[in-house]
Amino acid sequence: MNEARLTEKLSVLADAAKYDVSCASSGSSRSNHNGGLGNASKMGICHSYTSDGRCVSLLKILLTNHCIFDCAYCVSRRSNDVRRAAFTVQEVVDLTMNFYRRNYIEGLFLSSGIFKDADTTMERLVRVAKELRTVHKFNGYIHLKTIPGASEALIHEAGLWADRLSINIEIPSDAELQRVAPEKTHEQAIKPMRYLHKTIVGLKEERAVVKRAPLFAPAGQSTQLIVGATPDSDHTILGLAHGLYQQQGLRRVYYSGYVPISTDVRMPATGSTPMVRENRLYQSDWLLRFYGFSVEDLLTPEQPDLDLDLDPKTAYALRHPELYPVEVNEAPPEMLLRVPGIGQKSVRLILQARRHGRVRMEHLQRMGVVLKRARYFLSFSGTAHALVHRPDRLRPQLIAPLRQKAAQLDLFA
Amino acid sequence: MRPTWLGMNARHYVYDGSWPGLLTVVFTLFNEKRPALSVVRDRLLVTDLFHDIREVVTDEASATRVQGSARSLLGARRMRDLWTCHLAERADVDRLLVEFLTIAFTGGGVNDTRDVTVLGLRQWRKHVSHEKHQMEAFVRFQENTDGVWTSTIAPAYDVLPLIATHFRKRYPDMEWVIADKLRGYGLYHRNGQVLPVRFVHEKEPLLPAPHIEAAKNESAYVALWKTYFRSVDIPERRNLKLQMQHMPKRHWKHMVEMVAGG
Ligand code: SF4
Repeated sequence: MNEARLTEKLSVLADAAKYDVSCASSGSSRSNHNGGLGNASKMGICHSYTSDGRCVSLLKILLTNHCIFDCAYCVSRRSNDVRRAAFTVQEVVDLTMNFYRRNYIEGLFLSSGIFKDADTTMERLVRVAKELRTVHKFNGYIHLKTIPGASEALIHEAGLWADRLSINIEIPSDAELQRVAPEKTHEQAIKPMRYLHKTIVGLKEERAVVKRAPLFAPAGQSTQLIVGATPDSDHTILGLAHGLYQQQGLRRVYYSGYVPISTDVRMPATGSTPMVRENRLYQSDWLLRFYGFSVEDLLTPEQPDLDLDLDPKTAYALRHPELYPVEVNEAPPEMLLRVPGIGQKSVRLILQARRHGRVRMEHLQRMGVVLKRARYFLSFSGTAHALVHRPDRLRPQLIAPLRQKAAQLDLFA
Repeated sequence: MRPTWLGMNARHYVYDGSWPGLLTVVFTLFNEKRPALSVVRDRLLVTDLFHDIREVVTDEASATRVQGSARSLLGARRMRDLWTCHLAERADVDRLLVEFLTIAFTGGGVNDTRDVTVLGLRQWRKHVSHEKHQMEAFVRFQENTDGVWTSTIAPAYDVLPLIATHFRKRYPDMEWVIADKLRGYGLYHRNGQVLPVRFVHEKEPLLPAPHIEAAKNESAYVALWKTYFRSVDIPERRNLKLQMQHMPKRHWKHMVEMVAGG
């Protein structure tokens, strides 16, 4: 092993891959039935955390950062003057195996700049996955990025070896995408997504009947949207995400707040997208997928951006005072879920407790309900908070209670 | 109905800390109709002069009987949850477990999520499983010249029994040892078999074994992993509080990427 050369490549190609935030390893279950190495756990495991608190689950690298494209938001773009490097297939395989055996990682997330043409690049990515699975009997998690413009045959093969495939849309509106990435269109990303969706669904049905039908991308597909690099609103972003969940059966949409790593003139001169916007989008995404909210519940064309001061559920509750208070002892589960500070687990506990008797405030506290928010929107056997129908007065109460606490401390200091 | 725990009749129970031991305590409690003031693992912890102390000797037959009837009332999954809580190795949890089993055997509401005991155990199950998941994530193996992969951990609770299956399934082709240096024992795996092993060198395990060294490429892979870890960091967004919240500092000394140098 040439340690110095590998170190150099690893630092260049890990650094170039780190702005892709779709690193989760969850959602797959690949058991170890060949006596080889590893398995993919349904939960996904974070093996470490960076100093900015992000989960490190996968060895996330580019095969190479040489690229013939010139996307303005990307450090690896052709016109950017950066150090370039390229791994061999063998090097990626070795690193993956050796990190995995030491329990450093759940698996590999492999992406690449387009170094000759789409198919040559895609073929090389597929070869890494195939070698890991067949030669090394590796059953850990593999996520491959699909190269825009790669052939269906190669994408299909990728699905046979990988747990998850992703095709990044990056820029939320087609017009903006074409402005900053002249070689790309939305259609170019949606077409392979459609193909993958069809194949995943088809083979899943087949597997239900024929147990030995091949495993095909068991952790499904995901995509990433860059937030704040273009003027696209949260309404546009969530609308697109919702469509992708509904029509392409995506497992996850990732939102990546734009970090101004690029000095390209096509990009905004503004600073980083605030982390809080990224967080609010994830919270909204969660409400869309698991809490029965619609995009229209959260945003409208007149109010196209999320409230950065309030979480999206609290913001919703303040816009709809007519729906509250929700009666703890009688409300149906879908209404309890619309109470700020009450999550799915708490709803389950409340329903279970109701079978035994009346539920009071102190019970909720023990169940893990965030009373600091929930108490304004609930009633207990008819008794509700006095401010329940005064969103104007509730809003300041709900914004950053921490800030108020700090002010109080000052007062008494 | 819930029994009342106080009264002259109540006393302190001392047992050996094992799961069958705790079940024997429950058996004794019902048999002798004397409620528990406390359940402890060490007689010296009882300083109360006014109440009796009952030292319970673990009895497999009684334990099996309690286990059997509890399982038919609660189901296998719930029993596993209780056993998981017991791995917290804490007197307050032992006390909750005895209370909970008493509720179960006297026909009380074991699913009443308003109840302090029911919710308390639910919390403890969460704490212990959280530690289990962290250990599954934070174990770092080192390859040695004898072909054995070794790792040392210091978990807050006794989670080795909980993580054995995970590592057996994940690394079936490796011979490995995971040592709990706080409790002085470890897991040894070979060919799909996991065995508990005790350490002869006091409590602290000597890993790798004497005269055995790290394998040839070990330091190179550690260095590469550190390089990777540094490269994926975004220092402009540094948030050490968040990092420590996810990855408590007490684990750092066993995680190569968090150890200085290299
Ligand atoms: S194609 Fe990919 S690697 Fe190449 S410039 Fe665009 S985003 Fe970057």
